[in-house]
Amino acid sequence: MGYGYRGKILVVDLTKLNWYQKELPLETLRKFIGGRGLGSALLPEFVAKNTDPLGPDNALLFLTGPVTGTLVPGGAKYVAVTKSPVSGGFCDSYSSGRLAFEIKSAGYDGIAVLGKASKPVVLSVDGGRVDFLPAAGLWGKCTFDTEGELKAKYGEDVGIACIGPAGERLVMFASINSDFFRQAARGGVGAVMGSKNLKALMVRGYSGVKCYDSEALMDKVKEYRHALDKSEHALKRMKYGTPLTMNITNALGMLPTRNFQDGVFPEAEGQIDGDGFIKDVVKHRGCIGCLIACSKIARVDTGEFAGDMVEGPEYETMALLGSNLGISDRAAVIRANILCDKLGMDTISAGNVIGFAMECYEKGILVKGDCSNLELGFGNTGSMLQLLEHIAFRTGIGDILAEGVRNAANRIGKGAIRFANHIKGLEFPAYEPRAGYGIALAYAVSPRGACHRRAWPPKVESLGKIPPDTTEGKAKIVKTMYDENTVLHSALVCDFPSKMAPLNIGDIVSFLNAVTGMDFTEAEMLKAADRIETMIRMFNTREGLGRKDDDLPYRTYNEGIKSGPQKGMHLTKDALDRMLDEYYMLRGWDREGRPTRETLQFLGISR
Amino acid sequence: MKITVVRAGILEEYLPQNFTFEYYSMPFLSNLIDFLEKERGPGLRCKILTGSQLKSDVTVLINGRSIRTFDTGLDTPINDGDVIVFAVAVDGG
Repeated sequence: MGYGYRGKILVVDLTKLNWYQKELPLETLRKFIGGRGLGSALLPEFVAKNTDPLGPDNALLFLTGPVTGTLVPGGAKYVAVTKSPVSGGFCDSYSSGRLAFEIKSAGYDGIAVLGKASKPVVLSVDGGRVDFLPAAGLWGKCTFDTEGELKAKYGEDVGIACIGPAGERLVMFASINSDFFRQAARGGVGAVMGSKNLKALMVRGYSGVKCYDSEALMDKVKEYRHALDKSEHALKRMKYGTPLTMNITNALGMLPTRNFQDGVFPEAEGQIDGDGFIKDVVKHRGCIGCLIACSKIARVDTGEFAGDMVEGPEYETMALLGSNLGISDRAAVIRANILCDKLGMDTISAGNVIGFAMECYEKGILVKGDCSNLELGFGNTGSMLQLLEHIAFRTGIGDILAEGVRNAANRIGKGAIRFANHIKGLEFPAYEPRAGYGIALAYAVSPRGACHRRAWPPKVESLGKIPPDTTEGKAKIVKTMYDENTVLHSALVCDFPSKMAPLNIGDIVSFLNAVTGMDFTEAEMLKAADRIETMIRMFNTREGLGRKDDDLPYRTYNEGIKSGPQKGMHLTKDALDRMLDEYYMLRGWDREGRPTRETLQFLGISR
Repeated sequence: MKITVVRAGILEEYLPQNFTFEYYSMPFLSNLIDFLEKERGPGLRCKILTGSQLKSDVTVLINGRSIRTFDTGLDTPINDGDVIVFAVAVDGG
């Protein structure tokens, strides 16, 4: 394989402690692009029907895209693909980091990890060499110490993905961490890594990625750079990072507040929103090759948490560990962010399960004696921080919450399920779905569960021309956004730089062609997106997921937003059903959401 | 009439994050923008408008609803107690 792609993945079996290289035919790469798409093609090959996600037969894939390791802006990402222990379906979870570049430099488009090591190991890939290093000395250590010790011993130039105590204990929202502060966090990928006794993956490569037409690539990068300079959105993201989003969601009445009971949190203003956040920013940081540097280093200078520093918090963290818990103390959110990073947990799901526990406590379903003696009312920062440790180490009430909000609600009973905000078991991201029917649909149909990254309808239904409280046209909007993002997530171009200039599918095709020389077309890309979504749907259908799972939780249907501009808004089951019918039709799936024979034939998918 | 103005990611050099004021008459959004240009400094208008059109990466919300959904643009009426948000049009977060 000449340009962009390596044309093979490394397959490692931790049970047998052996490995081999699997060739990727050009036709497969052309049909599935890479990243998410490649995962949709490979996961069903590696994982048999009804495999236990936390058993040795599950696979954990670390995949790159064709542009990884090149100058394409935002091309420093990898995706972890597996069968999710949360949803029981397809899971793709993304992170930036040196690991992505090193996998490519080592000569692979990805690494597939199969089996389960008998004892904790670090999987080391050093160019063509593969080693299984004992990890007994690292097991039990936090992600910061794990990555720090590995880098001290093997060099700063290795790419690392590792888990912390939460992953070791199979916390359902355990993350895989890279470059200390970057996480592939959603869907339980860290728990899958822990189930394999894989403490860390460490990769070093030696050969750069060749591009087909470097001059064309540079011209395109320069064009993009000029477009960025003119983009208000880009300039403001460079200044405020993602927390700027809170100013908008609070104004729109869709900011998760007190476990998604409300959509506005006035106390956020100037505290945990963009305006508050920049008071703590001491440095800007970008991923390798990024021209935006949306990531910020924040430092706490005074008070109980003085001296704390973190890369973040991002909007999702500020919202779920802030407003969603009734907390406006920025320093406490920063401390919570550090704890989640260190212990290896998803801040989104962590904020959800704690918000759920706080609501159960305030409504008398949980009492102090159930909660490791913690006062769990909304706004209690001390209890929030202690609860994070209880969850990661599975002590006290933390053991129940570590199972995720759906399982925890089922175990607690007493009607607690009414306060569990999830889809397919995956907790809500930081956009209130009652405040925009497009968001609700995007969450409902997401294969991995409630997800904000497959589509972001507020762009058109709250900030644009389309009213948020209607169903008309929402299926088309969501499908179009899904398809565009599927191309991005398969080429593995970061959402952020690509949405700020912005880059359209034609731009992505130009980048891909300059890198690979494969003469992709826009039509081919969009067909590939349809194919990938359908492949993922087939995987989920095979595992027993279907229309019944493309559903919304109790609160979304039965309670109106408490206050703010969207006061009283909620969704009916009938409204969701209408949008689902239309979405399935646009995808070429039947009324139950199963891909039809004609669709499979058209997309060139064999059963 | 009482009006609350909020800025979100834009106009930092002109406006506090959130302020409420009373004025005898402010019938349309265009009147509010004229008022702010006069009271809060020249140049504010150019930050949000190209001619008489809203810039593509700027959004104005009236009581949480984008004015783009009204099709009345700068002629959108303002009422007593309204909250007007001037925001950068983000995409994701």
